[in-house]
Amino acid sequence: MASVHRFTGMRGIAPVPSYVILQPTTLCNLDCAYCYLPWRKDDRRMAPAVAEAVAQTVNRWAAEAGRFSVVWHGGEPTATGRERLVQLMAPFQGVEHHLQTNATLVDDAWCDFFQAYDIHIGLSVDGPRHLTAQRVDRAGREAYQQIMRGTDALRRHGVPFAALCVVSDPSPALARELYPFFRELGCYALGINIEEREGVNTRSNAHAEDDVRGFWAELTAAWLADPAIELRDVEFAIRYAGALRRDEADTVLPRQVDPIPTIAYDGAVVLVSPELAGFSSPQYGDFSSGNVTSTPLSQIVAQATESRWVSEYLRGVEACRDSCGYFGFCGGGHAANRYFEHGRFDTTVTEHCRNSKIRLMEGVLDHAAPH
Amino acid sequence: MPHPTEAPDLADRVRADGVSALVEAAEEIWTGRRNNPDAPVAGPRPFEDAFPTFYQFSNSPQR
Repeated sequence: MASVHRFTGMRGIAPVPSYVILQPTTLCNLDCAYCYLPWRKDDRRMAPAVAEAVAQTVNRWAAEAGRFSVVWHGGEPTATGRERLVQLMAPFQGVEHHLQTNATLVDDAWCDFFQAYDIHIGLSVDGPRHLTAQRVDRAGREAYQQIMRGTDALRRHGVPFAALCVVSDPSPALARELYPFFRELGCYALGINIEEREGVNTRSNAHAEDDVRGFWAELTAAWLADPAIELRDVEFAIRYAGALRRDEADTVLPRQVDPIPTIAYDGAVVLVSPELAGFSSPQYGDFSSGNVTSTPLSQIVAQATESRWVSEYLRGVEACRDSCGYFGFCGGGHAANRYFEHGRFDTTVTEHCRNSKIRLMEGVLDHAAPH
Repeated sequence: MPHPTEAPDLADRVRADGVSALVEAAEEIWTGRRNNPDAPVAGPRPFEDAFPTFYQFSNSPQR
């Protein structure tokens, strides 16, 4: 394995994150087939006091950083209502606000709100109607028309939006169908999430290698032919390939793992892996590293490695560093994927790694230089 | 319990002529974005602009 570099990034936990994720409500008005979130039928709302506690640390971090993001993620954040969101956002200063939405509740008033508060919008949609069919309401009815109505409102008001697309069954033909859809949709950026087996979603995410590589190769071809959209995953792979060609591959990843504090509605903080919020296990407990209502967020982050599972995860990152030729691109398998696929955190390659890191890179290279 | 991962020959694969052309084409696209503020994408900017939850995938300055 002569080509496996000794990558020096992603060692330990950074003392300051680049963003935090807040859960304004656990409620989602949809019931997507692949969703990993527990409690999404319940409307457990964040109290303003929780946001105020988070802001006490975040405002200081933001003042010292070039940029800092607060990401409102659900549940469905718009299900919180504008009045409560304003209350929750009020304590934050000097930050960028982001909001990930299914758009089903988005209307003219929401668009005015997004513009008034300069909120960056991420839209969750999986492609044309038949590909978005897993996004359904609580009665099992397709949400596609509602999503498109919300998207129309965003376009009508000139609200820029990025799109996140969950792909359950990757194939070259699917890529050829997806890219033109998102080109027409009007998003300025597109991220692809191949469905993951995590949380309450226990469906297999194992796919034939050729299908996944072919999917990414075809997306690469579509982007090159019409590069009007930022294509997150493919562009990052190309950036890495360029860095590797210049022998600069070790400069791509951050020096340390971003702690990515996720603050649940009740103030509980899960570090490193937002998908673990709300879960517990006999071995690791509830994955929480503390609660902002009793401990400053800065202290919770500073003590990150006192958590048994976080320490185990860092050992897993080192195992990836020692064994995987894609480490400089990937930075180690994500914690939630390790846990939900392997039941622990010190393992290495996951199906998510294969689908969204290894075969992504291989697919992009397949397009450029077929084996 | 590390175990070998498939295809650890990335450094060799990226040397292919086709990859050189791909990287050059992409860099041309990114330059075009930067030079055209009216384009749907105004330039090569940090992925966090669109996807702050993109984990460690970032092209922002490294710390």
